[in-house]
Amino acid sequence: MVRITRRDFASRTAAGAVAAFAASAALPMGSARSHDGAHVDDGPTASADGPTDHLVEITGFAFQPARLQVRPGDTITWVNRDIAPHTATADDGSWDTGTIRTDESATVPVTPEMVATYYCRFHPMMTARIEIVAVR
Amino acid sequence: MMKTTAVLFAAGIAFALTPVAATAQSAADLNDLEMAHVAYTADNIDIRYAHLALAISDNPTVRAFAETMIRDHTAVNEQALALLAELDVQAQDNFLSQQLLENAEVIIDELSGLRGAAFDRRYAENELAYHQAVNALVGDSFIPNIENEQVRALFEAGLNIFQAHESHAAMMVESVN
Repeated sequence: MVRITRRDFASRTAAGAVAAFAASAALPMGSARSHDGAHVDDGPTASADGPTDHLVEITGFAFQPARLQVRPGDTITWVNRDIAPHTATADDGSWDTGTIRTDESATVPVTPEMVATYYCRFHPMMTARIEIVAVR
Repeated sequence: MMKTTAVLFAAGIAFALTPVAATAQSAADLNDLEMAHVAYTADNIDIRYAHLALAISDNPTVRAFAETMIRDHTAVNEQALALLAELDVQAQDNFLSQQLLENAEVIIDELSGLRGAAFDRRYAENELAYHQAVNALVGDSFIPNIENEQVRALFEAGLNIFQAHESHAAMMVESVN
């Protein structure tokens, strides 16, 4: 279902970093901690301590990944692969991407106090969360 | 087909079976361009219901749902029109599109006479039943019989959206009851 977007990933300048982080985000928390965040730096275009842009795909009325580890200073980009417009909106409304139409994206900076749980304002059954793992 | 028919009846979409049987018309026998016309018609009917809800209802849940229906069904229709243009074909009117429109007129007349909580309940119930009926039609009768792969892909994407709407409508029904 997500496969058709691979070629789009390749066009991103930080494709390697995104792929590396997407893989690390799938690891259990314990595993990620044991590496002390080093996995984030494995991408060919990511500097040792540089901020990372994390990619969340919205596809099939779901945020993927549904749980994402981030650090303050990073950014999160949501890209919509559905026909229907979506948003990524903090549960308390404190941050909001606004409407993201098909094949459009929106980016939000990660802050230490950022509300972690979010949903789609248009389709409230779509929910996900971010985990702020360390202060940079 | 039996299952689809049962669901359509359960939804109050009173398909006139007698004339249908007399002319041997069946949803599964429609060609791709006729199915596209049905889907486009079904989208526009739900957009009309939504505009009625925005005109009558003060319930924030109902209004938000209606706005989402307009936004999503408009997006699907734009994709459908783009694909038809790409394929250089036009959707074809057919018996099922006509039946959907006739039934929609009855429901719009009914909804137009309701106000307040009575409208909200009936709108919510109809949205759930309508999406259930259309999803059964698309999933059981249309998608297995579509010949063009691009058309099939669009119907599958559309079904994914309308199934989400069905879940959303179920939440709305609980909210207004």
